[in-house]
Order: sequence, then structure tokens, then C-alpha cells
Amino acid sequence: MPQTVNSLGRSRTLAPASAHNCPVIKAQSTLDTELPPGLEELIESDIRPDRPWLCIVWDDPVNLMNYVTKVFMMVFGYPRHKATELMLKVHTEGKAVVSTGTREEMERDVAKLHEYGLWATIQRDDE
Amino acid sequence: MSQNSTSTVSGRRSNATMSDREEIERVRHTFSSQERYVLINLAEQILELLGQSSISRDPLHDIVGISGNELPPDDPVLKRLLPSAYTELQDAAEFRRYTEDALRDRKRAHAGRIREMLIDADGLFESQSSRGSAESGEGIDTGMVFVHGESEIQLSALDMEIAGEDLWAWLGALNDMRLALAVRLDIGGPTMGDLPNNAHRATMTPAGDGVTNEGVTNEGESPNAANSSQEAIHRKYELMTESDPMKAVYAVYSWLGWLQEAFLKQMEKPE
Repeated sequence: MPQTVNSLGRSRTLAPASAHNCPVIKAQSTLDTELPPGLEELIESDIRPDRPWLCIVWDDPVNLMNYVTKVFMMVFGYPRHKATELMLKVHTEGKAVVSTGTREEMERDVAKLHEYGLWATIQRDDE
Repeated sequence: MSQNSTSTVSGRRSNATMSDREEIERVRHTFSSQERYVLINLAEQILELLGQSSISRDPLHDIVGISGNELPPDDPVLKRLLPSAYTELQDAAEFRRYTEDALRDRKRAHAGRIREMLIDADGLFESQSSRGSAESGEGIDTGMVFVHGESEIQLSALDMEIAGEDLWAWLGALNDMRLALAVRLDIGGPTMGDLPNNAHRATMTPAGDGVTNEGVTNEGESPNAANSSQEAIHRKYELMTESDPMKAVYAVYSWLGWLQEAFLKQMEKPE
């Protein structure tokens, strides 16, 4: 992860990171239903979702595969097939993005994963 | 899964998860007296380890729930139990400062619960547990005397049902014990410094560490390449002489994996 991205995010630790959305809400509420046909969809599709942070789980030689799957199911409420898929991705590729969201949400997820012994980190979505 | 522990999952998903898991998960296991002894002992070691502060504390920090720790612990086991949340040092330090204490407390609560259930089963520990010994420092000392003292304690075999929130305390604590022993056994304890480049060296462990005793076998979902490093580790400890203390440590490590896997198998209900 490039340094510049990190230094941008640094000051925002533990602060709500959701100011991103506001312009959309504002535009819709002030203009009400006066938008030309199609523009509303265009705006919505053009707005980057407010999900710029990633929770990543790294492979670990100790944690049992079934355990990792079960933790994904418990922490994220993922169905078994999705949890298993993610576990296998961690296992074969060395890491996997297991959830995305605001920085605050990712910090909550990581805390929970650490509580159950998984090796997880947070980073900004580079894309 | 009890509603209680589901509610601690981040709020945005708790609605979806609760409807999926209305039935409380439960497992049943018979612990021999020796197994009880080993688990109580390991739980106490985890409690003690996590109770040690990494740095001298500022009382003000305690009041506001900030640990003040910014650097990862020096002890390699603590470092593995309390990993960094960011690869970038400054972010990691800030996150740790605000959250490490809470993480220690939750892990201590898991280990404390195991210990309490294993001791309490005979009603031996009533007076101590009623004043919340499992999570307090004084309780550990009392317990050490209680369990280790002058062999007056006879732990019998114990058939136990573990359910809901307790079950997750068990799974988490068993995992912490495995992580702690793995560091001592030098089984791939990753460090954050290694993180981006060497993560591929690590290999998650398929069912039961390849231990084949007592009906646990490796099943289906583990990819083929999974086993090689595990087998190498297994062989290394197999070949050790009986007198090598690390051989016994490895035996406990393997057994903990087997136990955790046995619990997980029982939790797997057809969907």
C-alpha cells in the first residue's frame, strides 16, 4: 500500500468516515423530483460507494480451516458457502478481503477477528 | 449462537445473522481428569500472560479505557495474541492505544470462562467464582493454589455440554492456546514486519493438524497443497525423543486442535 494513501487516512483514525455521501443526499432533496429523466440514475451510478476501507485476513499456519470458516460465519453472518469460499481464498492466495465499509466498521470487524485469533488488518481500498 | 453474542457483531449485519441462527449451537464432550487439568492450567497461563501489561501504566489511561500501548508487545506470544490492525506503523499504534485493553479483556474473559466451567463443574469453586474470580487477578492466584495445591484436588472425568456464548468463549480460548503454543513450538508465527512479502509462507491448518487419532480425519475441503508444511512439522515432533519437553508441548498443541475440530464438527448441522 503506497505511503500517500496511508498518510491521507492517518488523521481519521476512529472518526466516523461517512461524510462522503452527503452531496448525493443534498442533491436529491433540494432538487426533489425535478431531475431530468435518467439523471438520477446517472448520479447514483457515478457516485463511488462510501466503502473505501477493507478488512483483510491473512493466512496463518495455526488456525484450523473449519474454524476460520466458522468465525467468518459468526462475525459477518455470511452463509457457509461464502465463508468457505473466503477461507479457501485466504488459504490459497495468502490473504483475502473479507469485508468492506467505513473505517469505523472495519475497525470493529478487525477487533472481532482478533478476539477470535484471526490475523486481520485494515487498509484503504486502493482502487 | 446466543442472541447475546450476536448483538456484539457490528450492528449493520446483526439482523441478517440473527434470523439465520435462531437455534443455539451446542456441543458435548467428555473430558478426562488429565484433560481438565491441562486445560485449566493453560487457561491460567493465558490469563496470566494477558494480565501482564506491556508497559508501565498511567492510571489516567485506565480511567478512560486507553491502554497507552502503542507498540506491539515484546513477548512473541502476546504479539501473536494481540496483533497489529494496520501495516502502517502510525495507524497501528493509534489503533492499539485505544483498543488493546479491550482485546485483552475479551480474551481473558474467554480463558476465564473455560477455567471456571472446568473447575466449577464439581462445585469445587463455588465460593471463588461467586465473586467473579474468573476475570479478576486475585481469582487466578486463588485458583492456582486450589488446583495445584498439595494434590487435595481430584479432578474427575467430566461430561460437559457447552452452548451458545460459552461455546464461542471455548473456541476462542482454545485457539488462543494453540496460537500461544505454536509460537513456542516455532510453528510459523508471522510478524507484522513480514506481512506483505512473506504471507504466502503461512499455510492454514486443515482439519485436526493431520492428527488421525480418535476418528478425526482430514476431509473434503482442504486443498491438496495444504499439508506439506504441516506434515513436516508433524514429522519433526514425531521424531523427537520422548524426553524432549517440546514433544509433549506438541502433543498438547495437536490435541487442542483435535478438540477444537471436534467441537466444530458437532456444530455443523445440515443447512
